[in-house]
Order: sequence, then C-alpha cells, then structure tokens
Amino acid sequence: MSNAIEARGLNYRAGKTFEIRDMNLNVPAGSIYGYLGPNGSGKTTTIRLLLGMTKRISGDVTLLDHRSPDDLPAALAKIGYVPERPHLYPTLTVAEAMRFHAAFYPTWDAQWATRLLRVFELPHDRRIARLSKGETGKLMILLALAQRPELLILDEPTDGLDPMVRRDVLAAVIDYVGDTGATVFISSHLVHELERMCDWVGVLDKGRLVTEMPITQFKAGVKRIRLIGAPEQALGTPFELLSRVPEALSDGESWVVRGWDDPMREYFEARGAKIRDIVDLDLEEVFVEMLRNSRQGVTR
Amino acid sequence: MFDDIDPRSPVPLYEQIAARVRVAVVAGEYTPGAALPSVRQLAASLRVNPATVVQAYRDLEREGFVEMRHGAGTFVQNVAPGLREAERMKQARELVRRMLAEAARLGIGVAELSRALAVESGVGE
Amino acid sequence: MMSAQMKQMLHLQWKASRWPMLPFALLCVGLPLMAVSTTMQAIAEPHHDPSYAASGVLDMMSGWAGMFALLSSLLGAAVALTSWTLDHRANHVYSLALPISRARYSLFKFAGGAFVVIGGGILLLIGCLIAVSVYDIPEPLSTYPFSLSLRFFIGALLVFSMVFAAAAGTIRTTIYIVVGAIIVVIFGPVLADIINTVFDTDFGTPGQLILRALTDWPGPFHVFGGSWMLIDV
Repeated sequence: MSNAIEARGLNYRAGKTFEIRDMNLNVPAGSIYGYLGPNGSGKTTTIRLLLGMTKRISGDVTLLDHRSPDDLPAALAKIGYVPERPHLYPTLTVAEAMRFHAAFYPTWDAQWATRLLRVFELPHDRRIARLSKGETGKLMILLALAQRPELLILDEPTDGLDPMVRRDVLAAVIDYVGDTGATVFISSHLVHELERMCDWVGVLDKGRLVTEMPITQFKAGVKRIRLIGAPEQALGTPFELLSRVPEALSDGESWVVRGWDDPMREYFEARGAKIRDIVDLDLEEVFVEMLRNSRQGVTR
Repeated sequence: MFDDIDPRSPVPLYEQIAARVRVAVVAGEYTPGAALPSVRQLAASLRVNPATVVQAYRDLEREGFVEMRHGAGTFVQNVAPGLREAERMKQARELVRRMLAEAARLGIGVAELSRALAVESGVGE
Repeated sequence: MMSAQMKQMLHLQWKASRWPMLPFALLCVGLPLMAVSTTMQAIAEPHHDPSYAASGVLDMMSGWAGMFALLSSLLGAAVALTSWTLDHRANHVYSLALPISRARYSLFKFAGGAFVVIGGGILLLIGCLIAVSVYDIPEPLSTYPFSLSLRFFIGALLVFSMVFAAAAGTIRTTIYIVVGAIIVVIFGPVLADIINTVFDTDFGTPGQLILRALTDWPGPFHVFGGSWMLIDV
C-alpha cells in the first residue's frame, strides 16, 4: 500500500455556494499529512466524505486499500477518528466509553489505554457530559490511539484546547507514530502547530486542493525579498513569483518568491534593482501567500 | 537542550537537532557510551516527525558522532580528536558568521567589532 | 454467549432508558391493578344489583380497555425515542465511525429496545395476575391476563418498530415524519370532503381509509382492533 488515503475525482456540492470538484487527494502511508486551510474551506467536509459519513456525488475513495463504501467497515476497524466536535455518548462514564470502544475494535490495547488514562489524568468514573473541553478532547484521542489504528484521522484535534493539553495530545500522537509507523491525517487551521510534525502538506481553499506536496518542497526557497527599484514587469523570473506588494514605509516593494537560490540575485542586479533584505518565511506565511496567489494571481 | 529548535529557521529541523547533539558531544556533555534519547521519545517531546529525528541521528552516525544500534538505541561514540576540533572550529565560525551578518545589518564595521571583541573578552586592550 | 458488542449496546440502552422508563414500569404494573380494583369497588357498592354484577364488570372493564391500548402505544413510542436519544445528541458521528454497517448497528439497537418492551409486557402480566388473584371475579366471567399481555406486547412492539424507524435518521427527518403524519390526519378530512363534493363520490376520509386498511386483517394494526379486556365472558 503506497497511499493510506486515496481519493480520485471527488465531487460534492452543498447549497449554492460550496462545491468540491474533481478533487484528487493522496496521503502516503506512514506520513504525517497536514491538511491546511482557512475556516470554511471544507476540511471537515472532505473528511466526512472520505469516511462515508456524507454522501459524495461521485468519485473513488480508497482507505487503507479498502474501497469505500463497499468495504468501509473493514477500513473503519483500522482507522482512529477524532472529529472536530465531541461525538461520544454523553451519559457514559469514561470507563464505560472505553469498554464500549474496546468491544468494537479488535486491536484495542487495554494496557496502553490504562496508561494513557493516567498520563492524561482522566477521571475514569466521571460522565462524559461532565468532562471539561480539554478532558473530552483527551478522551477522544485516547480512544483513537488505544485502538491501535493504522490510520489516524484528526479533525482540528487541538482547537480550543489550552497549550498544555495541546502538547500532551500531540506528543501522544507522535509517540504512537514513532512506535508503529502509522499514518496521520491531521487537519488544522493552526499552521504553526503542524509545522514541526508534518512531512506532507495539502492546502485547501474553498473546496479546492490548491497544492499537495512534501513540506520541505512547500517551504523550499520561499523568501520575502525587499527591493528598491523593482522592475515594472516580472518577466522570465528564474524563481516563482507568488506576490509583490509596495512597502508601506519606503519606496520599495516586497516580493514573495518561491524556489529562490542565491545566484538569482543576478536577476535583480541586471535590471537595476537593489536587494535590501531577504527574509525566510515560516509555514504560516507561505500558506497565506500561496492562498493569496491562488485566489487572485500576482497582485501589483 | 533541544527546547529552542525553530521550525521557522531556514535550517531544517533535523539539522538543528543534529547540531545540538554535536555541540553537546564536543563540549563533553554527552560522554562516550552515553545513550541519546530514543527516536520515539525525542520526537514526542519535541513534537516533531520521528523521521526528522531519524534523519538527524543518521547524519550524526555518518559523521562519526554516534552509533545507531538496532533495537538498543543510539549511543555516543568516542569522537576522534581531530573531529572534535574541526567541529569546534565549525561552530565558532558559524557564530562569527552570524555576528558579522547582524553587524552588517546595523552598519557596524569589522574594525569596530574587533575592538568590541577585545573589550568583552578582556584580551589585548 | 452474547457477543461483547451486543452486551455494550444493551448497556447503552439501559443507560439511555432507565430513568424515562421508570414511570412506564409503574404504569404497567399499576394499570391492571387500578382497572380491576376500581371495577370491583364499584360492583361492591351496596345499591348495586348483584344479579347484574357481571354486566357491570363488563361495562367498566370495556372503559379501561382503551387505556391498555394507549399505554401499549406510548410504551412502544417512548422506548423507540430513548433508543436513539444518545445518538441524536452526538449527531450519529460516533456510530457512523464504528466498524460495523449501519444496518447491523440499527439491528443491535432494535434488539435492545425490544428487550425493554418485553420487560414492559412482563410487568403488565405481573400486574394482571396480581389484580385477578386478589379480587373475586363474578361467576360467569373469565380472566385473560396472558392474552391481554401478549396483545399489549405486540402492540407496543409494533409502535416501537415504527417510531424506531422514524427516529433512526437525524432529528430533522424525525420531525418531518411526525409533522407529515399530523398534516395527513388534520387536512385529510378536508381534502376528502372537497373531493367528495366536486366529484360526487363517497370516499371516507383518508384517515378512515387508512385506518380500515391497517386495522382489518391483514393490516399491521389488527392487534389494536381486537379485544383489550382483562375480564370478559
């Protein structure tokens, strides 16, 4: 199996405004794939379509080499899913929820579940309806992990959690991945968090998968170049120009480029432009520039 | 020791991790035979992809700083003296390079820097 | 012998139903007791003519018959609604992610609810047996605790099944179905009247037609059309 998740020609429509058209998605097995996108871009919808919870109009979906929906239960047995909003039966206690989950997932690891219970400091006899937001989030992760899945699908798992809990949750996930080589598909709009752990990124904007590639490639040579006397037209650039905006406090411009390498300075020198500064961008800034570029092309 | 690794830096994460280990070995913080944190442990505590840690450890192994023993862990090697010196020099030059870049940004010349270095280190007033 | 999954589903049913079912449990035992005791007390009134005791009992018991049928329907509906409450609150997400088909999950749930309905039937039977043994029933009359309980159970199971199916979807579809049924009941007669006047026909109201179709054999509601008398000739 080369891809843990594979979607081909996925089509879906909701109302008059939201549409997913011919989406192709590939999540390599064993990778930590960050699904990035602004709020409302369709991250949760994509996940629900992949898991067969929402019906797609057309397209093929394969999860862990099982075709969905024909072979869906077999795939679901190996998938640990943590949705955006709490989804557990509210009147069960923590211990009862664990017992319920254990009955349905044959790969349940009771010993590890007990250990995670301790690490997450969850009260085993408290009802789920009475847990705090952080505790509920931790419980959902606990259930998904103790199940020992081959694929973890996490939809904004740390949203609304305090930093301590966020760290605990992500550390537990990485600990599991380090041990088993499982695949993780994690969607988030908190780009900073994913930056350290993902090796693949998929960027979603308004239902369209704008880009999908290894994270190193995504960030490769993306720089902000501050120029004085920038050329009118950006013709024949050796790099990819993502955006150019005038600088507020000077008479220069700020270009965001991709695929930059030092010898490319020559391009500007030859056109009489002076480079004042070259700044590295973090993943969030790259993400923002990518979106800006995909939505409106290069602005002036 | 690893607290300040920065995903935003142009230096890849695996290189940042490897650099910290090199510094520790050269400075004697890690003695020969000492075990580095396991891939799983370090990845989880730093919240980075385990593959990143593996790559760092592999690079270090290639350079001769550590040995990865399958199933047992990763252990610090007895580093050849020449290698130790070379590494120290490399780190010193990196420090100087950063200082020079920052100085250039602030408009401070090498001569001024030299004088400041003498004052701060108390060598050759 | 019961699979671990079935056991967990039953436990879930228990947690969802136990408090709502408490009043029903009391009613199932209490209704036959109330029916028989009030009947017998009325018969024992000094001015009541003993030679007409039997017909007095029959009169009063036929008044109570409707209550048994009503309780049977309410029990079925209540069990069905509590079966799906927990799922509705979490929007079915958890159950949709479970590694079993939707059909199988629903079947487990149905079985769980059926157990509760059986429990209600047994409680009714207990109430009936106690009621008829405590009091002296006038000579020519017989008691039918078992057949009444069976009818009660089948009626409850029937309503349970229908409400169960209606409640299996989202809360929204459940509401649509209920509202749709109410509209048919209320506006059906109006529509029938119009059709009758315009086309000079003599259809009964849709309600009457449907009722006839359902309650006459082999309609599914046939059981409701039968005798709900605990004490009869």
